[in-house]
Amino acid sequence: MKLEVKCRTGVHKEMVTAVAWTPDNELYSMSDDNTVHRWDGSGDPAGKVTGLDAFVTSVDWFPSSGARSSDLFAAACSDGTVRLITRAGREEKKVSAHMGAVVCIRWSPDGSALCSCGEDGDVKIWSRSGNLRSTLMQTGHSLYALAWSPDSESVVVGAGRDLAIKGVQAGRKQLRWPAHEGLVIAVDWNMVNDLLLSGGEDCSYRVWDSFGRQMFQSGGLGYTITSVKWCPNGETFAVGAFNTLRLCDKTGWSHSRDRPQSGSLTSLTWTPDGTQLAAAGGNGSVVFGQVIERSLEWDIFEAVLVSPFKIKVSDVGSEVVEELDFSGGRVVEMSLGFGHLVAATHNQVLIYSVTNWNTPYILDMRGATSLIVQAETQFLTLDTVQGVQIWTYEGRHVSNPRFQNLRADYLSGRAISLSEDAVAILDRSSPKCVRVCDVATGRPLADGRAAEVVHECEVEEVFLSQFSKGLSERRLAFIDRNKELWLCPVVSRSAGRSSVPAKHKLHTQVESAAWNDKGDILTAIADGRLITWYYPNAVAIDRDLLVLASTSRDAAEFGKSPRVVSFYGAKVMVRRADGALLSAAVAPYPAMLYASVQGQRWEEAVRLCRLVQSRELWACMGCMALNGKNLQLAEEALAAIQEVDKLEFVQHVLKVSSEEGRNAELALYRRCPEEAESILLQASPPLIYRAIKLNIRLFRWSRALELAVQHKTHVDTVLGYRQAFLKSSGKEETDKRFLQFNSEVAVDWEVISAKKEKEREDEHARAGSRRGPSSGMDREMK
Amino acid sequence: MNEDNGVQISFDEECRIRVLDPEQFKHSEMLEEECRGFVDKIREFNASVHTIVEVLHENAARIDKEKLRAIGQRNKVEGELEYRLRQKASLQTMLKEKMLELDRQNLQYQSLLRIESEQLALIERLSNSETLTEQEAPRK
Repeated sequence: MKLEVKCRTGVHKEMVTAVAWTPDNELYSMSDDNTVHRWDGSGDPAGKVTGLDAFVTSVDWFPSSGARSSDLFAAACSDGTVRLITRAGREEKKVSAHMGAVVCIRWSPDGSALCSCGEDGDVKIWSRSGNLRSTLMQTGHSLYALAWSPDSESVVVGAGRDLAIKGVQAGRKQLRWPAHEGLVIAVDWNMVNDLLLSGGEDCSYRVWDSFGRQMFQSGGLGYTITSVKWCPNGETFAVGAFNTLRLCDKTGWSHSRDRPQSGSLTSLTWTPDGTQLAAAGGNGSVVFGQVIERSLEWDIFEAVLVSPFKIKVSDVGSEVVEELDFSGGRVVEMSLGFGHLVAATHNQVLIYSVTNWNTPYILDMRGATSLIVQAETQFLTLDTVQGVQIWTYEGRHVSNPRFQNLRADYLSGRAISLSEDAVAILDRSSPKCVRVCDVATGRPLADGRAAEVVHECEVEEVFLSQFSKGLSERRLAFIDRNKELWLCPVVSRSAGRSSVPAKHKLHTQVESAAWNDKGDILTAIADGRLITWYYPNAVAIDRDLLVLASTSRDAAEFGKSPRVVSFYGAKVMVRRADGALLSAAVAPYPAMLYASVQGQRWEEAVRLCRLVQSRELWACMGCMALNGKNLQLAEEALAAIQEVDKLEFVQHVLKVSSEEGRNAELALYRRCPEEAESILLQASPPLIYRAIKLNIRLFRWSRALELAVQHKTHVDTVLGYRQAFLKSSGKEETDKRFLQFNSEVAVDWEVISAKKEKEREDEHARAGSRRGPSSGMDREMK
Repeated sequence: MNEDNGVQISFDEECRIRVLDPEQFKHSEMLEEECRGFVDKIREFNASVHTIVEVLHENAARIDKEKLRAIGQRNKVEGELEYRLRQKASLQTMLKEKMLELDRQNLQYQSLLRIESEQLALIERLSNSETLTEQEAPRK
């Protein structure tokens, strides 16, 4: 990615001090020659708008909401006034705001308030119509920069060498930390990623999170940083200094460095779609920067945006190069994956298949698309007008997922994940809650299914598994603020009983993670290691197998805070913090295993395991077999990894004759005794004896007794076992209920044995009569 | 009356009245002639002085210009040191950036090499195990 820089001189006679884009991509520039000029989107001057009787120091366009674009901007002037000026150049309002010059002015993102700071050291909040609401700070020394928080509730101010965050409402805590070794000259706060950016007289720029922790610090540039600005999508930011314009990734490394002959760039601004930026030059020039050479990779295809109107796609395999022209408008967003290239212009989305580059499907959009997320059979677009929309690759509209408080302008690629049947959205207004919507209807999943996954702390990133079919197999992985990776099913296993799916913690210190597309394989970079779970679902079956069915290798070469960019096939792409894009390979076998198991070709899967002879693969096979209730294979797999205890248990399960009984035992294996019990009790007729025995085995005596009494059977069995247990551990009976029944019921072990034998025969007979001799399972057992 | 003033009215050869006596008249005419010659000479002198002054001015201007240029050059020479330092610094930052870029590309290359070797090993292993199973098959 880099900038195509164009430096336009000759329009302004004096230094340009401030620039602002209108919502429809026109640029307004203010200069010390007391004029306001207009420029069109391609960087050509479009005439003088108006003259002013003051020197403008800072300007901000009123934020647009939804489809309505605003035509008002606020200008701060050196004579201490703040003026509201219409697009046509008419001065609507003029307020005396500060003693001395007003230095910086910003609208809140929701447009409800205006904040200004000046040479007198005050920070003031104004209403939309220009009435003073409050004086937020009084520092006594000149202030140069301020920015609003994404929620419009607080303001960050560069106060001397510090950054100070102050809530707009009274009584909010102020956060203040030393930020630079020189004065802070420029500051910005991004809507989407909630990160702060500052530049100072110490010639460095730094990235902070909203708690004041430093995420990045640049080296010295040789010149004071005079302006910084986030790209609206939060992926990149621009830095301006004397004859210097940089485009940097949000992690801090530089995409490109340009040296326009423009003097100091005192003001920087991005178009709302993030494809272009403009800067005000100290020598009277206006600098335009066009983002080009964005490149995407998938499989053997590489797509590069060579100009705003052209994408070049190269097929590395056949070395065929296609050029896609977008005469309709500049490309604002593009995505390549799952056999399709989706590109969005201002009012259209074009869907190309990798097999046919000539005739794309074209969708007409009402707003500019800011994000595209792809899945196997469909993709998702995000814009501020229509919100989230899901489409098939044939261009058919599937649904429009929505729920209360969904703010499209807050969503980033990390907060949204699409799979074949579900879409998970992380909502900024309640960041502890991941909402899962049905793709087909667009509504939150309902009736006993999880509409939302509520977590204990803020969730930062969500991922839906891509491979398995069906909601019951869909898994949601997420990383929370404590850098812990969690996994939970999208639909809870026991519908009706508890609608909240069980969450399982997979790992701590996780930097980044991704699902594979050829199998439900999850990879994560955690604590300097690259960990790949071949069957993460094992966490709900057997944690030991989860660890066994995973590989972990040293990932020191990925350095600090790496990000997994993609996990396609057997290849993991990782972006280092310094921008290097590294590849790592994982074993190709698990994906093959998944393919065989999904096609129910168990025999093939086992042959693969036998061929490869790796513990991880056998463990993976074991989990799959247990999940698919294929106990013979589970037995073989567990034997292969020498897990004797598990093996014995599986052999024990194999001896159980009824299907419900086996399911209950498997539930026990999954450490879900409640579920096991309910399986037995819900069988028809209920397997009461088995349920009681289960509780006895788990030493849940009172529950066993309760069941026995409730169903008026086997009370003596419970009592007998209880007495034997107490005797062996040398204890006295203290439970009142047991004491009561001990006196009422006589315990005779011969009777108990006889009853047990009868129950066993009953169960066997019933299993035989129900399923008949045609059952595959029975045959295999013999 | 004439005797009173001591002025002698006389006539010259062309019968014109003369107030001065011819001797004096001749003298004064000569004087006039000489004066005119003197004025001419002075004028000539003035002109040549002017040209000299002009030339001098011209030279002065040229000298001034040269002087300024010399000062400028001297400043430039003095500034050159700083400029070169700055240029060096900026080139060095560029170099550093390029080195970083190179490091990045190298890392990328290394990782790809690693993948290649891993895949070659895999191919090796797969073809070997194939022969293994073939060998095993008759034993069974």
